[in-house]
Amino acid sequence: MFNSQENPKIGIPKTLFYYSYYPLCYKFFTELGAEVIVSEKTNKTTIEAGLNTSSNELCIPLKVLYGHVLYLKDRVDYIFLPYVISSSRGSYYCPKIIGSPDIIKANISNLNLLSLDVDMDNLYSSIFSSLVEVATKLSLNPVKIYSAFKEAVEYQKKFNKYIAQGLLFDEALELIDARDGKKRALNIIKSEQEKPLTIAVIGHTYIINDAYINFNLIKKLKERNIRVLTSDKLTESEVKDSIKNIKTPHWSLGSRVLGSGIYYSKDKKVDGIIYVTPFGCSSDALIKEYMDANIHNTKPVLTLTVDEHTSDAGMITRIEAFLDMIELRRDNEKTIHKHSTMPPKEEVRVLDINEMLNELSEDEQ
Amino acid sequence: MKFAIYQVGDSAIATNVFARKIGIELITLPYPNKETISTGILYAPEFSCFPFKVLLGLLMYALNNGAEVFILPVSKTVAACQLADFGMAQKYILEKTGKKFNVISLESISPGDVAKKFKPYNKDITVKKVTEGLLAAAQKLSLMEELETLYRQVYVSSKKKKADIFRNKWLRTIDKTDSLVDLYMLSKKMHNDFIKYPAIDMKNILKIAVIGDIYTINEPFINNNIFERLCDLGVYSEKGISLNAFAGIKIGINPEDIMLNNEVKKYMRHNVGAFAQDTIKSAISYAEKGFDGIIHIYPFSCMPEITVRNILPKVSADYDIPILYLPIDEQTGDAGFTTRVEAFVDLINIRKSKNNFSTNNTNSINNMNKKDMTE
Repeated sequence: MFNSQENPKIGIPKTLFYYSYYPLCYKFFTELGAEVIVSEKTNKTTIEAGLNTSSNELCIPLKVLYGHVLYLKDRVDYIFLPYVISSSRGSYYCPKIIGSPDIIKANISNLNLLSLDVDMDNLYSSIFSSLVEVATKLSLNPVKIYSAFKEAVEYQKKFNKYIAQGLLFDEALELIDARDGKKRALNIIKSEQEKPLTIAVIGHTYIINDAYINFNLIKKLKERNIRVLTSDKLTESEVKDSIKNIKTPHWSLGSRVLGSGIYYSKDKKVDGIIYVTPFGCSSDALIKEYMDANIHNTKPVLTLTVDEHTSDAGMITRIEAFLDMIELRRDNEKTIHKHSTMPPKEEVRVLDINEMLNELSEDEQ
Repeated sequence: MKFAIYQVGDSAIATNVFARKIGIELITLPYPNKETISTGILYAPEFSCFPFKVLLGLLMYALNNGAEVFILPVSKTVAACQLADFGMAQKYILEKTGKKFNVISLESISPGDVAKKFKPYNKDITVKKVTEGLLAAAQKLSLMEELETLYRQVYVSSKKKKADIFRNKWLRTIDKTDSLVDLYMLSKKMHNDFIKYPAIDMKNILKIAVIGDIYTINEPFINNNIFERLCDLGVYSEKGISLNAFAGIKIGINPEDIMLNNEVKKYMRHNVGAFAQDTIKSAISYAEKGFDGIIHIYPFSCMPEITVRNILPKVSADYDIPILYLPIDEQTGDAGFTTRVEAFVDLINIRKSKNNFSTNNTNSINNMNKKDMTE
């Protein structure tokens, strides 16, 4: 019964959890003898296919998910879409994400979905019972599961290390199987650190890593010789550490955004923060309120709202204006006095105004 | 010292009795109106859900009228939606005005916890008083819910004027009655009074259920008075979820419920947040009860209800019941809203008469059996 002659093909949509747990899923399924197929990068056809089938109130990541699932539909035996409810005690994912397999099931017929529950908040549900469920559905050997999962977790940990060092998703994915990965990673980080400006890009992982949704934001920044740090870089404990003094938000994605926002606002190397949020995301709307109250205007923050109607030119204009502003600010700080994050003391401020007045009167004369 | 708490529709009647029992003073809030809503919109983040904006407007009104302590929910278990973040976000926004105030964050409504939270403001508070207050408040909420259903029936059978008299009379009685024993007796008295009005013909009347987000369907000023509108059109309507759900009152377990829950799990395996599963459950149960149509009302950018909205088309197809989706936000126009509701009622009216006609001709016996089952 086990190990059917043909290996089952499992499709993983390149959105949502692909950007956080792809290595884990990939290793787990290949160890069990399945073939993993990933959908194309998000492109125009993905979004159009999504728009045609979804209702218009959904946010862009979910609309994109439709497109990815439709792409995979005829190419694979099963589409892997887990119910990811919570990743740690007391924090949950957004309702639309928890319900995404249900939404897909209700709107696209004849789908072979492979779902399992990931609920770390519920003490009674164990991940292994749902893994066994998956293996039996695929008619794979359930005995192998334990070793496969262990292997997969190790693989994911290795990947996470690269991410924590400051590599971006694509870079880390390229290096994970390379033999001289560590060396190359160090080289990349070294060259990155020499760049004059550092911008932190924060937001949900499936927004900041999906180049089509965020209009190539990271590439655009890199082309301008800027070092980019993302909210993915923070480890779980770093996130928890930076928000330990405030009442944590209900959503785990929200806590990560807030945590990284606060973390980078204290980081002296970071010159500015770009916050990318999908249109109509009400959890992000409240997180912004949390952030405003806890960052205390220490760093310039640009909020970019993206959806399928956002235009490339509009994005470029805003990013350029933001970067110009940061450069001006940095130059000012260098010439007048060196205060990076601390507000100027009263004495200094008086001096400043006098100086400026003098300059003005000189100009007038 | 004046306290302020959220208000949904006439919920002030329930919160006031709680305040009286534990000896604090609650500020009287107006119903949401243009002024409070526009202040709410002014201060709230753009994409926060509509209830957040409306409630923020009310809290701003309270702050300007001398409220010193805000009772805000920070619930993680009862309704796990944006509501869990409402308290903190609203606190941050209110702080921007520069006025000083305190916040009591209510994490649960277990009497012990509540008593502990209120202790610093009034030393005489005991767990017993809090329990009494909570029970009275919950009882008043369910009485008001009963009154609301009776009111809608009177409205359909004997028009608005008489219905209003009936409703105001009993609302006043509910407000005045404070003793728990009297409150438990009230329900029967109310029903005795209700019987005096002519009954509606339940067999032939058009039946529509209004389901959706708990705040929007319980606040008549936000949902454009949807229930009165339906009554005007001569439709018998029922409400999918009432404010009681927050109190977590569930009496007994009936086997029907378990069957329904299994049915719901086919559409939504896990409760994604707030009362999402309950919305699907009520949609299914109304379809099985033989309702002619369902109106699904939800605020724009409400995360749990949008998830539900994307699943409901499947329910609609499987159970062969028409559903009208009405997202609501500050831009919702009165006229556009009415047109859509009227058109929907017209359509299901035609559908119903067609169904009756065709089934009467073909297999009337079969249909009779079906009707008996549903009623």
